[in-house]
Amino acid sequence: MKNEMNELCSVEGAEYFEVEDRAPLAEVKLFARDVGVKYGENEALKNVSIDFMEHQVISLIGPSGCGKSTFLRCLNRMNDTIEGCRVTGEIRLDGKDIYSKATDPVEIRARIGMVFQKPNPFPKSIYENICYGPRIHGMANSKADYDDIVEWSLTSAGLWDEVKDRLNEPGTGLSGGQQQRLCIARAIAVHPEVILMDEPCSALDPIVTAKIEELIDELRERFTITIVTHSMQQAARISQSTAFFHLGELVEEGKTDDIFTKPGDERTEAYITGRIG
Amino acid sequence: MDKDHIVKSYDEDLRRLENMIAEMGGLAEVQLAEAIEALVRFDTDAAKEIVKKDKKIDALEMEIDDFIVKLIALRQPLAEDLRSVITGLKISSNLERIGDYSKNIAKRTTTLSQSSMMPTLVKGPIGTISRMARIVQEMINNVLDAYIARDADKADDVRAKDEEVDQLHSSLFRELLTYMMEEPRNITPCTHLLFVAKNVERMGDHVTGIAEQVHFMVHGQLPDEERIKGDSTSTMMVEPPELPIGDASE
Amino acid sequence: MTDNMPRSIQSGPDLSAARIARRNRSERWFRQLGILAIGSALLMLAVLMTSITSKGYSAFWQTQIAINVNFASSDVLPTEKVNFRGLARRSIRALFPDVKSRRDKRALYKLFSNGIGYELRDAIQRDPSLLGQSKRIWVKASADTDMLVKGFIERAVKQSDRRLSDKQLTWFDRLEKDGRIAKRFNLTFFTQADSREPEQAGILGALIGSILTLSVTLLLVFPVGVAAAIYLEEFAPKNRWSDVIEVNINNLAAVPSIVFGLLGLAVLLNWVGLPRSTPIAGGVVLALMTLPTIIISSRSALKAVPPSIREAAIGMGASPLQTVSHHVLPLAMPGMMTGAIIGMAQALGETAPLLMIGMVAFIVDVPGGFTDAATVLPVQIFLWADAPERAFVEKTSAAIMVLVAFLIAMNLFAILMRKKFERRW
Repeated sequence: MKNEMNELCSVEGAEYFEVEDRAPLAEVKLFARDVGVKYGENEALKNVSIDFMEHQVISLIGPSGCGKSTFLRCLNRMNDTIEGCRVTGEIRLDGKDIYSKATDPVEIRARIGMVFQKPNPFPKSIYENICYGPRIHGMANSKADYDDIVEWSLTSAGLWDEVKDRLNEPGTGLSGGQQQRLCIARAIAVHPEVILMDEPCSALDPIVTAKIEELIDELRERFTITIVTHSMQQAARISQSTAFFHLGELVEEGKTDDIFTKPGDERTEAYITGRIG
Repeated sequence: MDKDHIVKSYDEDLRRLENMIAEMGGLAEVQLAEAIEALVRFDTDAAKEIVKKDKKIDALEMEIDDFIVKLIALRQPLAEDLRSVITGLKISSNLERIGDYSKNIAKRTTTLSQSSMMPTLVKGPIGTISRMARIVQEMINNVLDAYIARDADKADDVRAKDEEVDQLHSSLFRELLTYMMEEPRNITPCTHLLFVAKNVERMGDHVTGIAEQVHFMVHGQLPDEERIKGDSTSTMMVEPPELPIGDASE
Repeated sequence: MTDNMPRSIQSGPDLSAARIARRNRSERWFRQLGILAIGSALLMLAVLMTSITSKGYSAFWQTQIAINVNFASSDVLPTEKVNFRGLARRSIRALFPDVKSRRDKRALYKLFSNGIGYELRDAIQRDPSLLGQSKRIWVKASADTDMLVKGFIERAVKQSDRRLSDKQLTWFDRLEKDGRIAKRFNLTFFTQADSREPEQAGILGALIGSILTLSVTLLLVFPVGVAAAIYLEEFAPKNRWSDVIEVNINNLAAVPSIVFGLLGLAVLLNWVGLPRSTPIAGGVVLALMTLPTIIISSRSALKAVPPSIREAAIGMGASPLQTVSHHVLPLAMPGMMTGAIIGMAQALGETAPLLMIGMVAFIVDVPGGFTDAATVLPVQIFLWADAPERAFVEKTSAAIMVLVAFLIAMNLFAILMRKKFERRW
């Protein structure tokens, strides 16, 4: 049945996932081909090729120092800020090369948002934190517009009820889990198309982590999400695809169900079952 | 997987699981051998022992199930570890059924020994049953070796062996039907023997089930080919022999 | 892992009483040393402050003498043409009818300040209703009288060893008996510029001069220094050139200040042609001197902003300039302001470079603008310290007290500003 549907569809990169009723026809939103990263002489990443499907969550797993965070940062050109970092290969968002000379990195970062490992709200009020992105990208005209944006973003992030009475308090006064949700709200306020998350829950307790995982599941309806995680259980819970990195290379990429029950590569198996670090 | 886990106690747990299953399998094998032995010698005392010993197998099954649940909760096994643990769960249930069949055979031994049976009538069928049981014993042995060694090919061989058991069962079925039709006094003992034979054939099927699980554990999917069903007893009809001339009905 | 544990680990830590006692002893000894160091520093500070204050507090009081002045209209109007000094002297003579000879009269006048004529004129100008009245006016005593009142002149020594003769002393005693001697708060110190006569000398000129000079310095150095720090820290590529620049800035901060004075003299005065001894010239010289310090402290303030804030802003799609101006600069501002005020406090106390550009002149007028000749507080102190009159000793210490108070005020301001703008991240 699957093969027949693929033939019928015959769009490059389109796949029919029977299980996902929410996203019946997934397209390739972002792809990477032969991406490599060098810090000076040190080759941190090589030959990475992945497709990021729309409205899917893909998780990048692998031991420390394997290059998954480096790769993530390539996707929104955050590696530009690091001295001596050279990125090779091709990365295309909706078909357009994000590293071409004609592309403005600021535009890319408005379309590809990022949530970091340690929550980093601006030292301003909660209201200002959310408004900052829309303000610099000219998304709103009146205070009413900004109010709407703030309410929608905080509600989507599951934080509205907790902070609606104290929008003028500093964002840094919230608890760790709330701060991270604030950062997520801030990222979605500019309505990016892709959200990159670099170990967003590593500093948080299990209950808050579960709340954020639920949030990621809901956000999937609107955004494409890529998440780097150290926890394989988390990757298994929230992602539809998983990519395993090791020593700067992409070892294996596939459906999460398959990777965690019968991985193809021996190295993947060894990492998942806890046989190598 | 040859390499050890980083957390050594995880490996120790998996080793313990394998040992428990090997122990259970050994017990099942011994039960089968002794049950057949008791049947051949009509030894009711031995049969009673066998019935009692089945409790041990049941207890082991509960212990294994408990252990596996804890293993899953605490270790969150993935990939091959997960498959081997789930396989262990299924193997223990299969072995427990095998043990129950041995107990059933032992019970029928006690019953059979109460009836007066013509030795010749009985020698044939019981001989066949012994042969069947020996094959099944070997199958149990081999499949457990395959489980511990994670040898899918060996498991596949075990699976193929079941055909022999089935064929023996089919011919025994026919034979017993014939005996029963010849002489009504044979019906009771032969019926019991039918059940005994059925039990052994079912044991073979359960061992085949174990072999398929071992294949799944190693390869991540069940074997492609359909199980060869050599058992044709469900479709067997045996016509009674021609009535001798001089039947009173005329 | 536990099987090849080295023997030295297996035996466990040495928790013997002797070892612990020895450690505690050195701990205590170090603490006492620290307290001793702080104590001696505070002691020296106390000694310094006490010696200055004890010498200077007396300058805040001035001796005044009461005379009866008859403001008859013919003597007093028009104010520009009238000889007020004559009027003053007549009033003095009226108190001492017995003083006849010219020499004696001159000696008598010496008990009073020689600027009392101006004081009478100021009195009439302030209050025209005095016209036609006879009033008791308090006028300034001379510096010598002042010293006598304050106890700095020994009556016991020989007349030739004293500033005041015996006769003058007798006159003085008479005035005192008449209740005409009083010590009043020395407003002159704060309202007049420098003068050759100690009793008429004040620090207003130097104070205004300092304020004007520092304003020029601040206006020049803060924008330039902050902008340079932002560029070097946030935008400049990190290569060999930026290292060279950084080393040079650090070295400039250590250059002796007098070198900047020479620079000011050669370039600003000779080549550019700025007027010498003016706040503008002094301001520029001090700005050059303070600039490296400001750049270094501003860069530290910028470095202290955690990179996570920058990453968050960049991740949102902010351009580098937006990141710096919206996020980094507000957070670094308290540190920058503190650095700026401390730099200013340093500049306030600088004397050597200003001497080189001519601010050592004797300026009697309070400067009105940036291009008027002026002097600054440290230079004023230097000049007064050099003056021979006894009265200038207390004035020097008083001026030092004012300067220190100014510095403390600036530092307190720095702390307040920092507290107000400090934001926790």
